[in-house]
Amino acid sequence: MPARSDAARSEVARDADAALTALYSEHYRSLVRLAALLLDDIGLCEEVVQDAYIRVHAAWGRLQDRDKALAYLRQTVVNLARSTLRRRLVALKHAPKPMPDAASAEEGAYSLVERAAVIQALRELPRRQREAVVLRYYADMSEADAAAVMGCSVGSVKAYTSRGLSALSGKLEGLR
Amino acid sequence: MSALEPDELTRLLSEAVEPIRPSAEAYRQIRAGIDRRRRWRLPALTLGGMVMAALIALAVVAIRPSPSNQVVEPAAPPVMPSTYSDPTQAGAGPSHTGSGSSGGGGHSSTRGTGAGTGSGTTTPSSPSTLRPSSPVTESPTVTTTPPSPSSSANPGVNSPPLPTPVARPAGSGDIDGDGRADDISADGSTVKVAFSRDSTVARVALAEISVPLTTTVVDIDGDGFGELLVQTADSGGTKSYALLHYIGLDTLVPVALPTGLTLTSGVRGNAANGFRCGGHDLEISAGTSSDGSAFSVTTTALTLSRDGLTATGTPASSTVRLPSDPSPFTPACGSLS
Repeated sequence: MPARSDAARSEVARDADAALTALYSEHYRSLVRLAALLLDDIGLCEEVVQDAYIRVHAAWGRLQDRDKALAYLRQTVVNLARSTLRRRLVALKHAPKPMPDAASAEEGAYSLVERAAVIQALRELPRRQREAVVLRYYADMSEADAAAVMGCSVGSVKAYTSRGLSALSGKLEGLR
Repeated sequence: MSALEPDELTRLLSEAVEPIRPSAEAYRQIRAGIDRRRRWRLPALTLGGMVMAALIALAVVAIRPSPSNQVVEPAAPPVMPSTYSDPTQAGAGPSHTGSGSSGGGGHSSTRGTGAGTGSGTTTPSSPSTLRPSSPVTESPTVTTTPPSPSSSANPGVNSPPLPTPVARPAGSGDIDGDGRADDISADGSTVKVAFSRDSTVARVALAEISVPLTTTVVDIDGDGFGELLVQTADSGGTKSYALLHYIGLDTLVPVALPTGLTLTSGVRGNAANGFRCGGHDLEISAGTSSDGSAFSVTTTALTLSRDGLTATGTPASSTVRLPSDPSPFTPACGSLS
């Protein structure tokens, strides 16, 4: 690989900083909400999204198509959420939840989200079904894009979406 | 139960996460993370490289066999054809008799190929007994007889192994060291020895063989295997002999003598020769006389080894007056006298 000059590196760094700022201002909030739907612990959603921003910024020079930076970012969020869930699976099942400190404004918002029936129903879905439902109906992705992000076939996305939608219909029957 | 419409699900999900607001510190935390990553990138890469190099070095040390564990196979002996001829060796035959009765040479696995003076031919009883050339002698000087392709052998790695003798010295008539006498016969100019050890017949072609067959077996070197003396000629009062040496299983080869020495006995005019078998050597006497009665005798002691007969010490000189003194010009070996 040819060595890049300092000027070229500086230009890439400036591009990465500018892109980071633009991506942050335009998509940070939606990505945090996406992570909140994928994770079991909403308190971790901002941490996961911030980590995704840092990784995409570090890999900015290696991105083949910078117009798809948002797609890379979303995929990174999904992957990190998956990794976080995998690491915390046992702890989330067995560890008692700590008592909350004095409620802040953010924690108040998190409490509202935690109490939402659709969130509760979503967390009862298997991980793949949850990812398919969130990517299709919240992130508004096509089946092909969702399949690319999930790393599976379009047919699998259809199946996961159908089963997830059916399961959520039963769980949310009383709310409608 | 009515199915949940996609639009309704989208609305529910959007409403559920609507309360979430990004923290004010989010952008600053991202920037701090980027700086932290940039700061630790070089040390982390350096450390990772060092760890990788250490792991590779450990793997190399662990995988590489130690020198003590390396098994070095000995080199295979060179394949030598049975007709191999060493140009440094030559078949030595008695030059004064002209009969070529006792000659150096090797044995060949092919019967009848030993043309020329002193060629030895051994025909094994089965193909499995084929052997490469065996040593006959390594004479320091070259005789006038040129070596035939099959008349010379190279003693060394290809010599067949010797069996273990049952007694040292060998018993009467025992050539192959098994304690039993071996059957000796002649077929024209070929002497045949039927070894009692494995019933194999060895054939050694000589220039000629006296009729009737006169032989004796005597263990000259005391190694437990008898040497075979065959009378090859008897003319003008002088008898010539060939000495056959058992050098390996079922392998007999003629032994060449050092230059100037012959294995003959008898008095012929003013020249006389004789030999006797000592404890572990062979003594050859050669005498000359001016009157046919008083002989000036030179006695040379020879030791027999796989390389042949080798003179030891300084030849002894003496004077013998015939017929009053005991004659040294007789074959005093075994049953020969």
